[in-house]
Amino acid sequence: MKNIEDKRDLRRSRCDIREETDSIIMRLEMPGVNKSGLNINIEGDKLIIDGQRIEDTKKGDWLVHEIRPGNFSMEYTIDKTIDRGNIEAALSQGVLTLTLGLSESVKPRKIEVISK
Amino acid sequence: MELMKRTPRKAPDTWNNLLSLQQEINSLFENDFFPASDGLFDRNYSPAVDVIENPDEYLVSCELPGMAEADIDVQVADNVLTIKGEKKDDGVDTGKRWYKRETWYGSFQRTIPLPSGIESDKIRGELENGILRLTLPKREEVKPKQISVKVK
Repeated sequence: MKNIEDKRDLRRSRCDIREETDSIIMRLEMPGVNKSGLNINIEGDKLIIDGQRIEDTKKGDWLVHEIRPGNFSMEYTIDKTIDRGNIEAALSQGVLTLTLGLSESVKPRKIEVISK
Repeated sequence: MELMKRTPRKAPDTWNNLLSLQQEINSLFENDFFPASDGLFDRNYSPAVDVIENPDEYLVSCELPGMAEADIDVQVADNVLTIKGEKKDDGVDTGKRWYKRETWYGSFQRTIPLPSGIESDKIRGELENGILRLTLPKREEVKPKQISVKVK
């Protein structure tokens, strides 16, 4: 578990969540995070996304400082409708796209009617 | 049916109307109704920018997640750095339902005034992991020089 002191410096990323027919698509903007700094875990009902940002080593005097420092950390609660074994993640240009597959029982099912 | 006393229509109170107009105009100035932006033509959505100065160069970082190099246009003219571009929607809008929509799409422009003495031919830029990093080297004559004096 993270300490409260550590959590203070963390940053939440902007997030889009939408539902498709057989999956939930999450899109998280995490500028400055590369593949090796990204950690996605599922602990019980929690989907935990941690993004370690690449340390900016450049030194000097700050003239403008708008970019919030700190690593990304988000926690989402997922329920039984998400198929835990069917989660895909892709990171490109600082945007993480998570595809959470819906479990079979929630997917819309078409029932064929057989006429006799 | 009950008989009711007819109340005469109230004559318009001009003074009261003037007072409420004054209050309305005052409240306009109190409210911060202009969108927060740093330049006249900057959009409401302006990406976060960092500027660092060190003895040799200025370093500008800009958060542009999810954008390709082709979507970003960086220009330097008359000591004004302009970063503009368009953030394209990922095109998929077939979603049955949106649960959250926090990101923005559309065009943006950021202008950053620069001090004089920048070698505009040697500006370098790279886009990595959604962060645009620009290096603007200073001209030789503006760099601080250290002259060592030997005391005999």
